[in-house]
Amino acid sequence: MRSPIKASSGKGRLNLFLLEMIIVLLFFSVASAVILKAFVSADRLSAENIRLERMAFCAQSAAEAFSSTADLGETAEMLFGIDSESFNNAARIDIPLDDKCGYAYLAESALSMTMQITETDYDGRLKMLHIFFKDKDGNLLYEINTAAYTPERTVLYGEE
Amino acid sequence: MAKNNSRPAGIGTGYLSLMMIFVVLCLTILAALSFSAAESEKKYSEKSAEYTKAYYDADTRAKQTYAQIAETVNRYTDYSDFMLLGELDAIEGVSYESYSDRIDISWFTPINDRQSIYSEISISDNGTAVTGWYTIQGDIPEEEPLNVWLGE
Amino acid sequence: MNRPETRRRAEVISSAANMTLFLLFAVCCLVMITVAASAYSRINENYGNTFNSTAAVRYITNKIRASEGVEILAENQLLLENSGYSTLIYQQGGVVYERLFAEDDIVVPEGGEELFSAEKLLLQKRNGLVSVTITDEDGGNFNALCRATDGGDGNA
Repeated sequence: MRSPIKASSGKGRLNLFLLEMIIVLLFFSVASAVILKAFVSADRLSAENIRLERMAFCAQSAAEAFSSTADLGETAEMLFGIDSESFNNAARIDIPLDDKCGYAYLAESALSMTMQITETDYDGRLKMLHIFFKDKDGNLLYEINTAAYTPERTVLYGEE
Repeated sequence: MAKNNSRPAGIGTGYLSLMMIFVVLCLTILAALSFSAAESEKKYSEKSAEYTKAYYDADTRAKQTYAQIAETVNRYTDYSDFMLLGELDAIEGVSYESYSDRIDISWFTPINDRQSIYSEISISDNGTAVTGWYTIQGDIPEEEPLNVWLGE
Repeated sequence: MNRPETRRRAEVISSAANMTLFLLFAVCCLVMITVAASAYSRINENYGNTFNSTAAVRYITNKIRASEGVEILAENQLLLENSGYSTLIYQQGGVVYERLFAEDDIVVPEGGEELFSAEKLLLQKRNGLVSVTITDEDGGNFNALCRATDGGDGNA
């Protein structure tokens, strides 16, 4: 194998090397910028995927808690530990969340979760709930619909 | 020979270009691999999120049916009243068993092509109880239990 | 008289500068490859961990939804009852296992089939809901609530 280090024949050779170096550096910097951009977008995509997973779990938990309580305040308390009295009989709650879908109390929020009762029926016993997540710019990220029904007279299973 | 060796060392033309091509190729392959990993992760996340959405859409429909059934039954005191049974028959996919003191009602709500939510309630004079609310494969509940080896 | 020597010195300095430039470029390339490789491994690892944890949470919640009865035996042991058999899901030594039992069998958390790797599995029951939390090797955790199907009251 030939060594890359060679005897130089003089000024012309040095100029040629410098010229190659300049061209290589130019091309390399352009290629690096493009590749770096690809890495950054892959990283961002990966973070978005994890965020989507967390939002889906958060929405699932909210839907299950709402099914059990039929109350938005109690759902918020069950999920994030927010005092339910501050949402007395609220029909809509907006909760600021961090990247990990935790309650962003005082911290800067990355996204917001909204739980909104869209419709009630049978004297309020059936409540339809829309849960959606938006980013800082207001873009819709994820949404689900759920409902809670509380019958007029309820009894524990096995005690009927 | 002696004349050549006395010359100062330098870098041969083309080696830099070869090196750059190799490095750019390596970086491109790594970037492509990262991107494909993130893309497959995205597909998985989206599928999971879509399933969650589909499940709760079906759950909502199941609850609407529940509300409709419960509100209908609550208008009657006799659980064998043919008017009540006629109204229940009119609700799609509902089956029931009527007793003197209670009525047991069940129905299926499809989540997707493969899964459904099976819901079962019991309404008596004491009130309403959810006796079953679970997902099953397909539309029909498994009649036979899973064949578990008993060690015999 | 001094000219050839001066020229020679100039050439030596030029060559040294070239070599330095070449070495600098080589180091730069190496750094770039190292950074790219570490970014790739981080994304890949992220994917592995996320897939493991989320798949585990989803699997357990789907199992809960598909069972007729739910009992939490310990904070890392969950017994799911169905007609004729029951399923025990438990975590031991960084792995989540599953084992089926016939109705009259004694339920023991051993000999199960390996499902997912998870540093910790935490199961809690509150207000008729089961909370499932999986902690991965990096300490990241995923949590979801799921209704216990043996429910209780008439709320749905």
